[in-house]
Amino acid sequence: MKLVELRGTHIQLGKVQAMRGVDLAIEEGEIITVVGESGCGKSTLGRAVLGLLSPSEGQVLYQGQDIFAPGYRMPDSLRLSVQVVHQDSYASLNPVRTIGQQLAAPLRRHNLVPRAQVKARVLEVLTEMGLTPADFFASKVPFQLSGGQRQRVSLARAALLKPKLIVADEPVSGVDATLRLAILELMRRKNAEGIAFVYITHDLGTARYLGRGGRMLVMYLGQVIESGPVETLLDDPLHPYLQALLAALPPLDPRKAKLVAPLPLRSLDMPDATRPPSGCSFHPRCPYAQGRCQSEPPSLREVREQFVACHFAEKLEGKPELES
Amino acid sequence: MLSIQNLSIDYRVPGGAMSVLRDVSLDFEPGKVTALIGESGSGKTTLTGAVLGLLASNARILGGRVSWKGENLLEASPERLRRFRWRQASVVFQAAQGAWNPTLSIGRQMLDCCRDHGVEAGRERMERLLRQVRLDPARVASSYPHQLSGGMRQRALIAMALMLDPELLILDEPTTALDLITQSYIFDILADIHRERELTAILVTHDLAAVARLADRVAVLYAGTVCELAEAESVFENPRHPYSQILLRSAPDVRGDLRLTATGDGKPPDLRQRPPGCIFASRCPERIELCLESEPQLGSEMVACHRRKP
Repeated sequence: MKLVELRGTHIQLGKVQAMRGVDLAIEEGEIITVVGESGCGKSTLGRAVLGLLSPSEGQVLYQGQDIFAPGYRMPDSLRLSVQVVHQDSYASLNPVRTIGQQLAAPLRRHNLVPRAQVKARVLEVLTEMGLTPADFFASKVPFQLSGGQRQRVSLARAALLKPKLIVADEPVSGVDATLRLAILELMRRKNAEGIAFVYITHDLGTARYLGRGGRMLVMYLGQVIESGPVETLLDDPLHPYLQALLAALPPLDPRKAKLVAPLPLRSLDMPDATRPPSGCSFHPRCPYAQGRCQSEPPSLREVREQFVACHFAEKLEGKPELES
Repeated sequence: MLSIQNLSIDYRVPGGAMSVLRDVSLDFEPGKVTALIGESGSGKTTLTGAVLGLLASNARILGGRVSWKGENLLEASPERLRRFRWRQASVVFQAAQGAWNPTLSIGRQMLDCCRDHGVEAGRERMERLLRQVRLDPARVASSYPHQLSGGMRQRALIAMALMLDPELLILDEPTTALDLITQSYIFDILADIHRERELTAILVTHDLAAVARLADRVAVLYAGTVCELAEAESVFENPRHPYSQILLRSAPDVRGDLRLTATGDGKPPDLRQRPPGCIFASRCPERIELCLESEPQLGSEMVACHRRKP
């Protein structure tokens, strides 16, 4: 069953076309990783999946139902099946209520467990998230916890409602480096229990780690420009933009890192998102752009194991060398 | 050239003092890039603040020396420090954090710094430096900061830091908050500049990619102490201190190197009341009794860990 589906979805935020025609079907229990740089529309995609943004074109479907269909009112059960973990754990938790209070509230509100068992359930989920002794953490307010601990609380809150899907938008970017892996591991464990994840990040290293074995989408200026198995995309990128991103990441080895040559992009700067370029959005920066790229937008098409939006993907394989 | 000896600094906080640097000793080799790495709160920024005489007003220096060619900068007059800054040591801050004055053009700010230090007409030099950071001087010098992209502002800041031809360059998170492609471009520029001028540089960062790309030597900081100092290659290949090992192996590599260790939260130390013994003991997987009792010294092995001593 498709938990959430975007069909040709466009999202307009003020003057910015934040998402331009994205198709995505999220199956039960999978991890989908969404990567791209700031402003590429990856957080917008997350909010669209959460049903928080009404599309200007296209549809958002939950379990086959268009949730923005005229007159449709989403039942709570469907609403609760999709939960979120935000980047800023400080801003997403209530600063004046204890962790125990804020985790109990949704259980009570939705009558998910008998009243007498609410507290036990809260303590159980805190323990599961490694916040032990649980009653100690339940009595704390957010500022008394570290960033890593707060993010565990956010994950606990999302998991508490037994969702089918959790959208995690940069969940470890604000967490100290040495504590990130442990939180990603918790997410892997929740995934193994059957919860699907949409993991949104700019960090390709954690994308590979958390998303291993799953699918990845690469976004650029509101569009998906490449998608496919995580490992295939990162080991063998077809789109020149993904190639440039990977070339820009030095290996974590000083001997090799000092030798890397970045891909010679024609421009460093991301174009103005209010006026995306004609044709292929990447053409003003692409070192291989041809006349056709300026006029004809490439569609996402299947090339070997992945999908890529580039007219010349086959020709760019291996060491790209185009006839002019 | 620059050497820090037994430096300890506290910050006054409500209800006491927080010990941010404790007995730190570090030599900076001329012509080399030394990276200071560590998590937020490890004391990296306080350390460079002490070198430049730019500590927050609640900082209290408890002891130690910051020695610049034999002179103790901690005892230098404000006027001496004012001349030291920029003429001899300059800083590239994070451009995103308001390092530029928004009401003056880039060119005006660059030339102002020459004038204030009594250096003759810098226009030609400014144009050359802007070209060196691959910016178009005609356009950039007359622009205001908001008219440039984040990457361009950061590159202009690098040019600004080189205006007075300093001997020491401090790079304080020079690529944080920039996108990957711009970061890589800035690494390139910095590597070129370093090669050409043989500058001595301090790179403050939590980004291991930046360290791998630019650093010759690495000092790993944890809770205000140096736990390890080594050549960059050896830190990446064979980190010795348990904290360095955790730090280096907690960054998943995009190329799929999975030599990773997930660690539990542990309990970070309370810096208002430093525990006796090793400051990392509360989180250390290799802790023994001795670690809770006696504080390990860096020693000649340059690793502050009882378990790594012969």
